[in-house]
This record gives sequence, C-alpha cells and structure tokens, in this order.
Amino acid sequence: MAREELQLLQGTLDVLVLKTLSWGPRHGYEIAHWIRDTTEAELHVEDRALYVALHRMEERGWLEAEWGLTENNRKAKYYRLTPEGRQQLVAKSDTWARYAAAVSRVLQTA
Amino acid sequence: MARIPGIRSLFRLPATEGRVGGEVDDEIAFHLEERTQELVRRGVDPAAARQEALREFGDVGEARAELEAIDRRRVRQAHRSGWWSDLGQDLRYAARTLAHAPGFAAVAVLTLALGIGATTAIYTVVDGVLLRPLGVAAPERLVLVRERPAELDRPLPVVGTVSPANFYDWQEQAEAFSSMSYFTEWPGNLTGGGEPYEATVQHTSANFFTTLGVEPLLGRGFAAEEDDPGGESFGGAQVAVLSHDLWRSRYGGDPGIVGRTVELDGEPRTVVGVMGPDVRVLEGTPDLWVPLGVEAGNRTTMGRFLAGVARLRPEVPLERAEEEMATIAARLEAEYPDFNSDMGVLLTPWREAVVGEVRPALLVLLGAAGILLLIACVNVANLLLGRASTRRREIAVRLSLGATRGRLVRQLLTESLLLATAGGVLGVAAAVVGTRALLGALPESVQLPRMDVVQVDARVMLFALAVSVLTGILFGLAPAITASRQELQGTLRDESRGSTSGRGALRLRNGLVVAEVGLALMLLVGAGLLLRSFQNLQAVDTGFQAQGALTFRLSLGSDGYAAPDARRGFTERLRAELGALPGVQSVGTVSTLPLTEGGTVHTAYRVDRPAPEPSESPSVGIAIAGGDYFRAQGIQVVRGRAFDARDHADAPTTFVVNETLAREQFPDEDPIGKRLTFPWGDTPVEGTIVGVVEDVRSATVTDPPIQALYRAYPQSPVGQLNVVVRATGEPLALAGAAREAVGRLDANLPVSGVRAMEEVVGNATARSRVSSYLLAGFAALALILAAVGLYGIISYGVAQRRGELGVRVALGADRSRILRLIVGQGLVLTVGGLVLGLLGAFALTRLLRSMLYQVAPADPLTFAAVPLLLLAVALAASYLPASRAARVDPADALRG
Repeated sequence: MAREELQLLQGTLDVLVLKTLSWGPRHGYEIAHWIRDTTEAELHVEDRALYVALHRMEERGWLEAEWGLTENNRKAKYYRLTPEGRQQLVAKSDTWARYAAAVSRVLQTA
Repeated sequence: MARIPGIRSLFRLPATEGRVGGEVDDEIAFHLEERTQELVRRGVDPAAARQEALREFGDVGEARAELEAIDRRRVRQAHRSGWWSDLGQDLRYAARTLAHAPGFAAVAVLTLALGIGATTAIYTVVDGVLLRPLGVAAPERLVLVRERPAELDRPLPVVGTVSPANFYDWQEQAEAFSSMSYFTEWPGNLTGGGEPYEATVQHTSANFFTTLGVEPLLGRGFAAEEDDPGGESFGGAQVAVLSHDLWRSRYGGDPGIVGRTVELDGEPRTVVGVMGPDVRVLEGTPDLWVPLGVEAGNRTTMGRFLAGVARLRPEVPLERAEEEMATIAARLEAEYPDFNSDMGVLLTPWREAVVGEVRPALLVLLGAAGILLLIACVNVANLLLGRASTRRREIAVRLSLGATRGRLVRQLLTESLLLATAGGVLGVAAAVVGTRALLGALPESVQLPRMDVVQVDARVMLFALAVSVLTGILFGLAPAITASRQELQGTLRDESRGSTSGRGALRLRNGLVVAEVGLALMLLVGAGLLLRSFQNLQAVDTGFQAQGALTFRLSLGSDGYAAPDARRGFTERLRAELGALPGVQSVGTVSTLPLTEGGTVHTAYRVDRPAPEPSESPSVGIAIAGGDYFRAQGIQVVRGRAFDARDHADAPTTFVVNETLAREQFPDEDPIGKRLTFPWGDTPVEGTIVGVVEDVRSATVTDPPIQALYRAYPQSPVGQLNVVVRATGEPLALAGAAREAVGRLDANLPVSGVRAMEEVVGNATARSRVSSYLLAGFAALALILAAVGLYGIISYGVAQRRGELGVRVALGADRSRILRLIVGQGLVLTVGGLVLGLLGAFALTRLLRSMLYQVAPADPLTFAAVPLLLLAVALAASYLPASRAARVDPADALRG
C-alpha cells in the first residue's frame, strides 16, 4: 500500500481497536481476528500495522497491557482501555461519524 | 494496577528496557502461532499455514524493530517520570518528618551550617587568591627573572635584583624566551587634576605589555622606541599608560583621556593608553606605567634595581630555560667576576611569585575547615543514628508494607540531603558575611595578594552546593543503611534495647565520637603550634621602640627638589615645623623604615684592611638617617654618638653602624674612629664611624639582622623620606597637625602612609596572627562540637540504660560508683580519640613547618598541653549526664 493510505488507515485503525477493547480486554490476535471477522470482506488490516497501533496507543497511555494466560495456558499480552482511552474512543467515534456523515452528504448531492 | 478480571494474570510489564526485546518477540510469536493453528484447523497444511501467517503479518523483522523502539521509549519515559515523582514524594515526606522534630532539625542544620560555612568562606579566599586568572595572558608561560646570590640567607625581593647590563646580555643570549622585559617600581607624585597623590609608578621596558600579553582598553601600550634614554643613562619618552583604577578614580573614567597630559613629579606626560580592569602585575596593579630606558653603562655603578619578566616559548619547558640561564649566568660570572661573582639566575613561575607566599597558609586553613566540616558531619550522623532508633517502628511498618530497602535508603538519604542543603544555604550566607568581615579585619598593608578578586560568586556557590551534597551523603548514608537493615520481627514485636542491630549501631556511634575527638585534637594541636609561633614572633626584639611613634612618607621628586640643597633645606624646615608642634618629642627621617621591604643592600668594608674578594664582601644595608632619627625611633646608641649638627654637608663623611657590623668587621676593637668605604656611583664613599646603634630588624621579624650602615642626611640628601615623629602622647593624634605642617611648606607635596609605627610592626606579624587566630577559631569550634558529640552519646547511653542503672541503685550501688561508671565510659572514648588524634597530629603537623617560627612541628609542650585541655573538656561533657545518671530514682527507672 502507498504511504498515505497507510496513514489514513492508522487513524481509523486506532478507533477500531479502541472500540474492540471497549467490550473487555483482548490480546492482539483476538483483536485482529475480530476486526477481520467483522469487516472480513471490506478491510484488510496488516497484522504488523495493528501491533504498531497497539504499542503506540499503549505508549500514549490509552491502553494498558499485562501478560496473562489464555484458556490453552499459553502466554499472551492482553490490552485494555484506560480511562483516557475510553475518552479517546468517544471522541474519535464522534469525529468519525461526523466525517462519514459529511462525506455522505456530499456524495448524495449528485 | 489491579488484576484484569477474567484472565489468569502472570506478571507485570517489563520494568526495564532490557526485557522489551523478549516481550515483543513473545507477542509476535504468539500471534503467528495462533494464526497458524487456526489455518491448520481449517485444513491447511501446517507448513503452508505457517507461510500464510507470516505473509499476512507483514515484514516481521521490521515490525519487531518498530515495536521494540516504541516500547523502549515508553519504558524510558515511565522511568523518568517515576523517578521524578518518587523524588517529589521523598522530599515531601522528608520535610514533614523534619517538621515534626524541629529541635533535631535545628541542631543538625546549625551544625552543618557551621561546617559548610567555614569551608565555603575559606574556599572563597582560596579561589580568589589561588585559582582565579592572574591578570596576564597564559601565566603558566610567564616567569619572574631575578638574579640570585649563591648564598641566600634572606628572602629575595621582587624588585631590585636585576642589573640592566646583565639583563641586556640575557636578552641577547637567551633563546628560551619569546619576549623579555624589565620593570621597577618607584613612587611618583601626581599633581594637577586633583589632590597631590603619591602614585605607585612602574617603570618598564617598552615591550613590557607584550611580554605580559595584555592589551590596553583604550589607546595603546608603549612603542618600541619609547624606552630610548636618548643619550642619558636613564630616561624614556614622556608618556604614560594609566591603570584602570587610576583612570576611574582620578580622571573620572574620561573616555577622551588618551592624548591628554598628566603631571608626574612635576613633568608633563602624555597619556597614550589605559589598561583594562583585569590587568595585574604580580599582586596588584601600579597606578600607572612609564617607559624606562637604561644605558647598560658601568655594571658596578648601576647596581641591581630592576626585576625581569620573561615569556617562555611555547615548546620550551621551564627546566630547559633554567639550564640555559644557568649557563649564561656562569658565562657572565666569568666575564665580570667583580660584579657577578656567585650570582645565578632564579626563574620563578608567575603564579608562584604572586601567591607562593600565602599558599601554604591558605591550604592549611582549607584543610582545617575541611576537618571542621568532617566533625560537623560526624555530629549530625550521630544525631541521625540516635534518631533512627526512635523511628524503628515507622521503618518496620514501611518495610512490611512492601517498601524495598533501596527505596527506604533513598528516602532517608533525601532527608539528609534536605538537611545538608538547608545547612548549606545558611552556611553560604554566613560565609558571605564572614568573608567580608575577615578581609575587612585584615591589617592595612600586608594583605592577601589579589584580595579584590575574592568574592562569593557562582563558582563559590557551586562549590558550596557540591560540598553540601557530599556532606549530606557522607553523614546520611551510614545511618540510612543501618536503619534499613533492622530486622522486621524483633522491632514489631517489642521495642527492646540491646538487640543485635542496636548494639552494632551503638558501636558505630561510639566509633564516630572517637573519630570526632581525634580530629578535634588535631586541629587544637595545629592551632596551638601556630599560636606559639605567633607569640614567638611578637616577642622578638625589633631593636626599636614602636610604641609612641608616628610615621609618614614624602617623596621629594624632581619637581622643585632636584638640587640637593633644596632637599636639605626642605627637610630642615620640616624638622623645625614638626619639632615645634605640641606633643612632639623628637623628629627624624630615614630612607627605609625597619620591618619594611625595599631597603638598599650594598657592601662596605674597612679601609685599613685589603678589600675583600667580591664573593666575600659582606652584605651591608645602607640607610640615610636625618635629624634625630635614632631618638625618634627609639634606637639605642650603644657607643659613640648619633648624628648631629657636626655632620653637615661640608663636614667630613661620617657613619653610624649597627652592632652586627661592629661585631663582624671589628671583632675585638672599638669601631669608633675607624674608617669604612663602600662603592657608590662612580666614586667610593669613605667615612669615619662615629657611633654604634643597636640592631634593628630590617626586612622581616624572623630574619636575623644584617650589618647596617647609616649616613647622615645632609651628606646624602635622598628624595625618599620616611618621617618618624615621637610623640609624648598618642601618635595618631599628631597626624592632622603633621599633614598641615607639610602643607605649609609645600602644598603640592603628597603625604602618604600616615600611620603609627606600631602598625608597621603589626603588619610584619600580620599573616601569622591572622592564620593562627583563624585556626584557633576553627579548633575552638571543633572542640565544642566534639564535646557536644561526646555529651550526646553519653546521654544517650544513660537514657538507654535507665533500667539497668535503676537496678544497680536498687541493689545498693552508691551514686559515686554510678558517676564513675558513666564518666569512665566517656573517658574511654576520649582517650581513644586522643590516641588517634595524636597519631594524626604527628603525621600532619609537619605540613605546618613553613608557618612555624622557632616551634618544632612536634613541639612537646603543645602536644602535652592540648590533650590535657581536651581531656578536661571531655570530662566536663561526661560529667553532666553522669550526674543525671547518678540521680536516677530506681523506682522510676524500673517502671519506665
């Protein structure tokens, strides 16, 4: 993918990840799986980009991470939202909705 | 952070950067494995599944690098903010804790302020005098050049050691230097433009400023031809370069001063430049510089009146220059045996020439201040250790709540640093005040070199800060570590004394007190030695009566006093005027005051014996005495007579000699009536001895007097006069009247150096007095601190042992036994300290050798008396708590 597209994806990816985690802590693979399932035909998210997004958001303090055990007793790194992360989710969802609405409005005036 | 519900949690995030890489790898591996397994479950071949997972992931290597970078950043940031927030927490906690124990905090801070303040004050002086820039360029390449007789029995003066002819020969032959110059200093009268003022004038060669490497602030230095004597034996262009201070004080900092004229000794000189404020020649700056050219002329008659300064070439080490000059000196000795016999050349590095004299004393004082600081630290450490035992509960609780030992030590250390910083701030304030007071209290003329550069500024503050931090760590570390090591179990269960950790702490405290006492002893011994030395200096018989005499200086320069008759006339009228003043007993003049540097040393020998070889000629100080000098100065005439009206200008030449000359040149004869001769200018001067006077210390108090010969003023009317007036009452009361008398005779003649002769004597011993008093001050403080420390630990011991003491009393021990028990403890500690201190003193007092006068570094009297003093103080310090112990009520003690 070209650079600009990747960047755009990054911002969108953030809000998707935040939303995914809003239902509880998940590890990286679960998040990737969920996004793939929910948007299967539509969005292709490179795993690497996802992990970069996760680590970046952890650095920014939107996520917290902790190592835990899965049902299969395997070691996995779990992420969850911090209060600030929750705020970011609300703000970004709102922005995204307005953005989508605005674009739709333009496109509908044909 | 709380455990995430629904997950079996393992462990927390990596706390170190080192673990970041492994975690990232684990995370990526987990993802790939999961994806692979999922594909396998869907029926994909395992190997193909793995490939697919990898492909989907993206560039794993790049991903790993990127993720690691992000995580490392995150961890670093967390550490940083964690560190700061911990520090903030520690500081707040420390402040609260100290606020709850204000008495302790106050004592600790004051003690530290004492130590840090003393150290900072002395460092201020050391920094200004020894460490700051010297006012010339690259001083490490600059040397003072002087001629040095092979047998040096008195200190070599700075000026008056180099002969112009020799200087020119050096300049021609020496290759080690890029530039050589000479200079000399004479007072000169500045008139016009203000009050007549006796200025210090340096007469220099034209390249002087080049050698020093200094540039003028305004105008220029001297041009190469300006030191051309123009056919005369001395002379130079009628120009001058002003010093910064003179330019500001006398000429108002006038920016247009260059090109104007000033009147020096009655002659106009054009100002060609002004030097900047940082320029210094050796210790200070003269008021102005003028160029001086000298014809090499006759070596012998010119004499040695210059000083030399030379700049080493960049690649030439001092040793090579010294060797070269030694060779040249030997050559000159062979060529001119009469003049140069046994004369070598001494090269003194500039810095040493400026501060060398005071450096030992300053360093000793710095060391003493350091020891005082150490003692202060010991006291505070002891205080902290004592306090640690009362905080055991608090510390135990914190340990049980999960604080790591490292964290605990850090927090306790923060407390110490807080105390130390507070002490430091207070100490610096005290140092500022103290330094100013100290420098102000120094006697007038013999002062520290470069005193104007001594001030408390950023460098000194930085030093104080560093000292404070080090101090805090020094006295805080041991108590912090000791406190954190205490055992959990024992403390929480009961507060018993006598647990193993308590005993260890007590031993440490005892050891500290012993160290304190030892250090205090060392300071006391040092102070004792210096005080005795000073006493010895004061007891030296100077040979004259300083009390009751007033002196001042007049300089009869070329302005109106060129002719000898004019000078004779003036001095006679002056004597008459002064003699007529009420309260005046006698008036005289002399060319150089006793105990002052700058006298003329020449040679003189008997006429009736063959002239001695130049290397055998005796050193004789020559002075010109006028009027009733010997009576005014209180110098006894032991044989014959003093000068009187018979020794006028046309009479046969007469001399008065001192006892040393009489003894050495006329061992078993009466010198009266015998004749002496000495070379002076073109013709030798021969005269008859008419009197013998007692010896007078000429240059310093410590150097034994050399032979001296006095001429009568009318027969040798020189321009430099030191007038001595003996008063019936207080000498300084005559100062005003004396000035007026001079003013009546010549309103343009500056009167300088008006002071009592006692001050002159005081100045000669000033350095010794100041250093011995200061050291004594430090030692007294150290003694007090050590006594307090001793008192503290004995009291603590008594408090700890209340129960035991109560039992003893209940069992019938009488009070005096308790007393002896406790005092005995104190005695043990003291004696331990004394032994250590004596060993240390033996080792270190040899460093004082250069400052001692007729006192051995291992002086038995001092080494015996000081320990006794310390013992007495220690006994007193132990007695107080002991007497409290003896009064313990057994019932109380057992109950508590």
